[in-house]
Amino acid sequence: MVAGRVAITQRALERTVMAIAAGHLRVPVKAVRVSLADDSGLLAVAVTAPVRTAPLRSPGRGDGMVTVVQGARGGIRDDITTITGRTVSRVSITVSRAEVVEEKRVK
Amino acid sequence: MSEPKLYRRLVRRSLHRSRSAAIIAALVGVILVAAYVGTEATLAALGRGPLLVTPDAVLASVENPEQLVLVVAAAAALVGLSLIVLALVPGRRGRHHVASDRLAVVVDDAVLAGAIGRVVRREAAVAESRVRTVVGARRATVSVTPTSGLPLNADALTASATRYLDALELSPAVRANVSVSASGVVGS
Repeated sequence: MVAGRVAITQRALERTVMAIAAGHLRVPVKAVRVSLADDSGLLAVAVTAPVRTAPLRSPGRGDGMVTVVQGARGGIRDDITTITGRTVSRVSITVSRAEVVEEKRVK
Repeated sequence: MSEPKLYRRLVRRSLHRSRSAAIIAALVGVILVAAYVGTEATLAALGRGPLLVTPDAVLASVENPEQLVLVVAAAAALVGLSLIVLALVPGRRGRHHVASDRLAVVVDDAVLAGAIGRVVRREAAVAESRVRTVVGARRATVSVTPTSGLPLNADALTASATRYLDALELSPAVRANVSVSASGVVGS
């Protein structure tokens, strides 16, 4: 093994988590806010982001908002561990706003 | 004097504080008191007046002579007790002897703490500021703050520190104890 160590700054970690969360929630990276904290030696992640959702009265609505966000939490945790090597103890997501995706007519 | 014997003496002198300061202070005190008593005794024997005052005059001037005797006795007991303590405690300096075939090597505890801290830091892969080491006469206590999400194994760190200390063959022997603090720091 080569001597030395790899250091990842808090800012770099935050940006990485922002990108991961944005990918899972399918929203722009700029709309996501992330705060990292220590949780007894493990990493606690708090994400504030908008969530994309279909119009409420659209006929073929997908899963509910809560289901989508719940499903994203596990993926976010696994991706953080894979990419940064940090063990994550908690992922909390605060939905700041709903981004309604209007279905466009196929031309 | 053969070299090992000389080295043993030099190392002992480097590891322990000399008692000469306390001895000098105590003997100077004894000499002054003895000289004063001698002078007064001689003057009294020759029938001359006292240099300062006669003991009778001192006792007469105090309202409660027993109390004065008690105070003087207590002060003398205190001085005697501190001298006994100084004589009995090892008077260790913050240093350790490192085994060497050719040289008499004595290392300051601060240097030792830095070396142990570096070993633990390398093993734990954390920044220098996250490791704190205190070296005592027989124990080295290292506390490490981990990076959030990268748990550290205190036992493994203790083992590597112990391996390092064993190789040094310090005397008095030092036992390493590494503790990982419960909360970490985000980012490294």
